[in-house]
Amino acid sequence: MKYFTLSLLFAFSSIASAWQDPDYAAIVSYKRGDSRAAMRVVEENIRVGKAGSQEIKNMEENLANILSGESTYDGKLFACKMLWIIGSESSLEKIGKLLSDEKTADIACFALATQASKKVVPLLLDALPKAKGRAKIAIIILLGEKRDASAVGALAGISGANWSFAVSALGKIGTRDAVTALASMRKKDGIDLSTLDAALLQAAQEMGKRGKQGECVTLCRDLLAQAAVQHIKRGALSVLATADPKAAAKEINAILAKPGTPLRSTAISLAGTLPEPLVRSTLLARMASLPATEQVDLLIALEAREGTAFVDALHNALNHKDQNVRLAAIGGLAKEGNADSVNRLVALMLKAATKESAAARQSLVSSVHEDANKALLDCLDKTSGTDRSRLIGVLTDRRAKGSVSKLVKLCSGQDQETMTASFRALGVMGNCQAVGLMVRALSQLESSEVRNEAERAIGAAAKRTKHTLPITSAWKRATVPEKRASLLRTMGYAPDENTFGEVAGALADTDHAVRDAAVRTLAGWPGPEALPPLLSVLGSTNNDTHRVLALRGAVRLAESAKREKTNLFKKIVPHVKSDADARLVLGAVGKLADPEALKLVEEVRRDGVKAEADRAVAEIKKILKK
Amino acid sequence: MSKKSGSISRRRFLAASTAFSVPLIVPASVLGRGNSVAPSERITFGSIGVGNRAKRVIPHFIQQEDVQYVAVSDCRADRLKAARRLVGGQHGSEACRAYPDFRELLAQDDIDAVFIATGDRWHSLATSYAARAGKDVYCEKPISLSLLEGRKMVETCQRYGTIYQAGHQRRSVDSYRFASEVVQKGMIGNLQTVEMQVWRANPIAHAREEPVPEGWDYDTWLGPTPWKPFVPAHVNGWNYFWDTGAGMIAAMGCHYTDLMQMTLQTDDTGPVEFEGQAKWPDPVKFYSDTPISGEVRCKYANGVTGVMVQRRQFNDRYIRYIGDEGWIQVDDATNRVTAEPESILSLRGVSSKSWSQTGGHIRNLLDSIRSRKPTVCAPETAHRAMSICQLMNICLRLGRKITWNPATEQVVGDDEANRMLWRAPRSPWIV
Repeated sequence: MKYFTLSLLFAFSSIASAWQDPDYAAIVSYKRGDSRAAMRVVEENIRVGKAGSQEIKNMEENLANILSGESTYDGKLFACKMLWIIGSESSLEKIGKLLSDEKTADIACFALATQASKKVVPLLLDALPKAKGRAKIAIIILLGEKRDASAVGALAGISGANWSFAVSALGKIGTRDAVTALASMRKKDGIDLSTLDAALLQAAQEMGKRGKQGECVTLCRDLLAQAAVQHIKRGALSVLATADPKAAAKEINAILAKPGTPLRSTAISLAGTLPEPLVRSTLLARMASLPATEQVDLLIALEAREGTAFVDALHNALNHKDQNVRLAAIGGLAKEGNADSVNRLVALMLKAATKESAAARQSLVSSVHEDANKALLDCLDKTSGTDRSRLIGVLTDRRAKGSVSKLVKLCSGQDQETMTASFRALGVMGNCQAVGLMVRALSQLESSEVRNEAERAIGAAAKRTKHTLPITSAWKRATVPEKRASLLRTMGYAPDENTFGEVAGALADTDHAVRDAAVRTLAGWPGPEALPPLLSVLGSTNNDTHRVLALRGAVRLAESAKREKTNLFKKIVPHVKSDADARLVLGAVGKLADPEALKLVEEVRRDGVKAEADRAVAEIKKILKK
Repeated sequence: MSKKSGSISRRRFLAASTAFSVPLIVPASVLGRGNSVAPSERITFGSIGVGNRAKRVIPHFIQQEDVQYVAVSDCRADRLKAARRLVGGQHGSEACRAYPDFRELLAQDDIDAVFIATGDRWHSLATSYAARAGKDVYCEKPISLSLLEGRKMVETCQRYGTIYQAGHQRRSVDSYRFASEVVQKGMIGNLQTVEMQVWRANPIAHAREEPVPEGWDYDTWLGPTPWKPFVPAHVNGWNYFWDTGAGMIAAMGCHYTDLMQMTLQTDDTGPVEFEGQAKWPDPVKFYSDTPISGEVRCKYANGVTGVMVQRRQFNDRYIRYIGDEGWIQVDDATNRVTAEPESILSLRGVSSKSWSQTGGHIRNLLDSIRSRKPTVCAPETAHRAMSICQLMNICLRLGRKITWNPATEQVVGDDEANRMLWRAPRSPWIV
């Protein structure tokens, strides 16, 4: 073994030494485990080299020389992979020599597969009789991939273990001669008919691709009539539908005419892909006679189509006695529907809650019909109350921005359900202009239920559009305390610099309702800027409710502060008055990772909260220990 | 219930098995899990490739009331044994046939459909073999390793009328569908960029050949790829070699290109330009040859740009749609959706299904098997999504911009790039 290894090393070193270029020398003797540096150099040179340039030609020559020498398998494999990209007729001969060896035939085929040269097929045909085992199979397969008619004779003569590969190759070549050769095999004894039919099916597909519709149709019809297995027949119908829809329609009609015939589902699905007149003469002509489950399949097949050619069929199906058919039609109208479909779906949606009502809503929300929004808006005028609010919900989910002006008008109506739904919709869709109009509508509101929704919606729209000016302007103009309070609450839903200034300023308002709204709004304010005014409330108010609200707000903001938490709590602790206050503060202080927090606990400690204080101390110590 | 062409209503359970033999005739009730769907109406499944991914997905199949799992196959005996136990266990029985050679599984008449979760090198090939055997297919991603291989798979499925679902299951997950709908409804304005992030790869070091472990059919493991000696680290890290995988841009990126295609409604076409740069493994230390990191851009004819970025960690993967009025992003590891403006999120449904749940995607396949209607990720759709990743890889490997004609599926004026669209499989495998 030792001597063998040494002699092998010597052999490789002498081969390598014949190379001028050290990178190629390294590749010649390459074995797994070695550095790929030399290979990377070649890959890089191919990357930057210009196709057809002298550099690339030189590289091709070097790579081809690797194949003809006593290189390692890995070296040859690498060379073939590079010739896969840059190989030309110049390297054909040297690649060809690898075809006779079972160990290298595959990598040779790998390199040859991408060569467009007409000399490749003769090279393969020349090697075919001499090759054995997997080398022969590799050549047969590549001859099929090359789809060259000149290989038909050689392939047709192959029998025995390689017969199935040859038959498959003939199917890929798919010329008239190839088909004749395949057809003639059917008469032979012991033939695997499913392999033969598979090759004929492939030949049919190849003919269809090459525009030979007549021959394709004949082959498909033959297979539909005589194929040994069902899935070949299914395939023949599929290929036929692509190659010749008219011929396919005829076959589909025949299948659908007889109940219980195999391939019915395939026939229905394929019929859905045919041109419109053929769909009418196949599927739609037979629709009434089909069982409900097949009618569902039919509607699904129609749904997959582009356009609205079959909207009438879908409308008819809405009245079908079978619920599944009706549901399929409702689903189909999302894609296929027109303005009339929208009216029908609205009517269905507004019926009592059923599966169909929910499906109709979903269909309306996802309808791709270009005038769906307009049709829905027309429907709005014909409805009121709950029905109208449900329609507004659909417009909202559709993000129908074109409905904004209409919805703004509806905010100022009399119908509370409509007003609530309109405000909610505008909260999601309203633009800058809508914010101003919504604020105006808010000022005219009398119902408190609608007002709550309106405040939230205006806040949401203002926050989204970053347009709070209409709210603060209205606040400055407003004189009625209830309306001023309402605007403050609205500002709480749209927190920014401007609104914060107004809310904080309102703490000093002379009216109790306004001050109350300001404290409540600040108590829920999301940003740390609210902490100083809340502490100020804590220090100044005589209103116990306001004190509690301010304390809660301050504790929440101190807890969520990113730094100096302990210092913030130091400012809060002096305002603790009751056991409830102490519990609230201890719950938060107990989470601080600061020894100073222990002092804060002691400051807050009192008889009624002894247990909570002890727990806070324990928690702080636990955190500090970590 | 509609009948699948000549098969669903007939349950056959007559097949003989091979190595891990079970009774020749198995009554349907033995395999049956529930009583709500008659055994005669269940869709029978077999698995090709039963490694880690299969272990996670097979339970989703078994959970479906109208699925009957009857067989598994793998070229590794250890995996075959474990999978047989998994399927048998979930069915309340050990009755699951096992085949070392997937062709034997495909020859069984009582199997309607297969779940393919082999290594990537086998995906399109096994799909083609299954289609030729008349089986419907659920195939894991990436669905092919070369562009032409994918096209051939599409044609094979078309030729046999095969119902096919690619494992691009994010297409069926609420969060991604929601993001897609948001974009399509113009809620972030005009879409300008789709940003997709996959993780940085760990290159695989050089190593020497070792004996093939007992119970491995290594030749079948290699399948259509050029023969190479058994090197454990290279076998385990197959994702990072062009021979056996396609790197992370394809392996994970195909989920995102699929979502991009779905959102742009370009399922039957694709971008027209590709350009990018990658960092490659140090050839002195490493044998793997796919990129470690990189960035590659593709541009659609309408000006929308897709940017695939390979960087950071596994948990940092995401897809983000950027419009001229906002953006929406889905973080893959958490299934979290974020957006600007934030109000968009109020439209989201209540479903919290994550990307790892394939149930809805599988349900869609089962419904399609019955109706023969194409699935949500039919061959052409899956192929086009995969093509984008393959072209990104070609662009990176050649280190230059390429112009793509999606109609002819040819690179314009670049013969070298066009050659890289096809890799002939090793014999005796036929795509």
